[in-house]
Amino acid sequence: MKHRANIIGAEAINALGANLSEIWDRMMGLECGIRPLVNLPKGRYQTDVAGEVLPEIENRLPEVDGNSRLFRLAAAAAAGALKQAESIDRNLDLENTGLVFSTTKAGIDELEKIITRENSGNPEYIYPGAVAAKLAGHLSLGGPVIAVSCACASGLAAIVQAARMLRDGSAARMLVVGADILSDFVMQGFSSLQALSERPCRPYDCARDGMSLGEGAGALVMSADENPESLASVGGWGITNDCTHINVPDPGGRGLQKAVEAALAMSGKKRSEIDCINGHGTSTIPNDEMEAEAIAGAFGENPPPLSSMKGYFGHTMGAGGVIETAINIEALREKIIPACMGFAEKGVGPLLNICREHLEQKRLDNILTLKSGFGGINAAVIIKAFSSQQSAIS
Amino acid sequence: MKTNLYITSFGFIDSSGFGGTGSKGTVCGLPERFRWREFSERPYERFGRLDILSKHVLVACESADLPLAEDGGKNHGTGIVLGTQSGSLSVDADYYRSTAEISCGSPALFSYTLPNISIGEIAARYGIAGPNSCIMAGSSSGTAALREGIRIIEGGEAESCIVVAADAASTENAELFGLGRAGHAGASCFAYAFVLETSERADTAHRKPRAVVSWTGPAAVGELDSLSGPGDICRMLMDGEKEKPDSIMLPLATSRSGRGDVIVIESLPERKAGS
Repeated sequence: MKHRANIIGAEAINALGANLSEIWDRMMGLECGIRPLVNLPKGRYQTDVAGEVLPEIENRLPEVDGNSRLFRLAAAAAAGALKQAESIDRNLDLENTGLVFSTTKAGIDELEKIITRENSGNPEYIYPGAVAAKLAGHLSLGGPVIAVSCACASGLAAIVQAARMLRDGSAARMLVVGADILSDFVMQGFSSLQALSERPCRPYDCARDGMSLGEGAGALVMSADENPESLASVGGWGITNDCTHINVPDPGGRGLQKAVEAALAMSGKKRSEIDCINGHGTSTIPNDEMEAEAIAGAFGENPPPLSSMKGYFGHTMGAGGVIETAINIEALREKIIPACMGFAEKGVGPLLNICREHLEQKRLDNILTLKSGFGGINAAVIIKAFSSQQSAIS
Repeated sequence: MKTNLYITSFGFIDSSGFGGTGSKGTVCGLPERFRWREFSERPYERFGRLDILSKHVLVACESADLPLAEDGGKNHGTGIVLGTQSGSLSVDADYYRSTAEISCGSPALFSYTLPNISIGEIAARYGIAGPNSCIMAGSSSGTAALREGIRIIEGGEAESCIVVAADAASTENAELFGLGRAGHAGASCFAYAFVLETSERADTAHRKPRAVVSWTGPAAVGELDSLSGPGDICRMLMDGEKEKPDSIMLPLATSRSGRGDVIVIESLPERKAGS
């Protein structure tokens, strides 16, 4: 059954900027948004650096009712993507537009307040489903509304969820919004796992020693219609589970390899047609090794160029898949693969083709994005440049 | 839209006890003190380390008599979808309290502060490697998960799917967050698990269909007066239940306007099985 999931709006907010264009420009300028903590206290965690959305960025976002940072970031990203979608599809019907909200911890800062300050927090923002419903109300969306929480693969899982809902006609348009914020809860939690680097992270590097956390929001508007001005299309996807351990990836990368193979099969693409891999590249020892094994297993001796965005703005958790997909749409438009910030000397997979510098390409039509997370989940999604002849998924 | 999907197995745990395709019994003690041997004769050494949500999810799946993974074997043709309203909220609270006692808190607790972790536990125990997702849609989370399982199979991504609707919190945290009160999905601790599969797969594996998903789509006018939740599917399928319905309708009230599709499930009595 042929179906379409075209992307007609994209927006992102993170440590590098208040919108997608600003983020892209700063990435092209090799700017790193992982800096000494400002919003959170120094000396409390395993590291004093993270990709925070600083006040100079946050203060430029539209204000919303309530006092939730998470909601403000999510609403601003959603508004940006919808504005672009309305410029492409002038008949965009919000009443027939649904919402998938992706997050790992939603407004977990409110739980901190409830636990430590005698119930002063607003529990509404703790529940991802409630945040999704509130966001849909704020944006006047009338279609189906759900939240997806699949650890660090949440963003890609939400894009897949929206594509499935377009496929079965649940709505004509789907807005996907991913948002997560840095909080004492999250910083302490990853510190307890000894998973953080004291310096900005170095994906795939031999000296990598942990991740850098980040925060932000991303949004995509997806449409089942064929619109010649579409920005990009979802080409195919695969989601699998390692079946091994809840917080240690399968060292052989077999689950992620299966996800890549499923995405390729759904897209009808050959391996040689994948022009770039936007890796998860968290910069932890086990993740990057697992990913290298999966890429080697799926692509053999001649894999496409690989880059991770974590060195620019950190691991934005449940927002990551959406933010990075929005940036990938810029990459498709500009035909530039961003350099893998922080990478200097290869520490995994001798055959991997990791980008030390920005790569300008004559052909950049298909980007494979990878994400894996706690709970054993692996996700692979192919985003392709829009082509009216080839926008359908088999 | 008519479908051709069967429910071939089910399991549950809630305030009425536990049961399903594999077993039946009553529950002793508080949920936070469950012991695996109350529920199953098949060993499960990890059970004591699980968070309260995962414990409920695993009991429901075990009661559905799912086959264990053998020698690392993986089933890529089966997916898992969990629908939950409060997710890992209870262990979130436990973890954050632990930061007052241990520097940066308990790593063992933090590992469970994601709602999809119980999917990882199911996947590891039963070797289920297909598409998986955790859906949170307020009090409709369980029905939305069932809808997603149908989507995954009908889209050709898997031949079968384990769908679990679950929420669980310790007594202390249920009181703190008002779980189980109005606006939340029934009682504060429950899990309902179903194996959803194509009729072809059920026939090939010689599994007896217990119910059929006969419709997903808009409800006909006048049909919305007999709405149910995932727990009602178990009650409909449980042997020995009195006055159980032949079919039930689950609303998918996941839109802001309250409009939405329904899922209709019809039980298949013994005489219809395999026909």
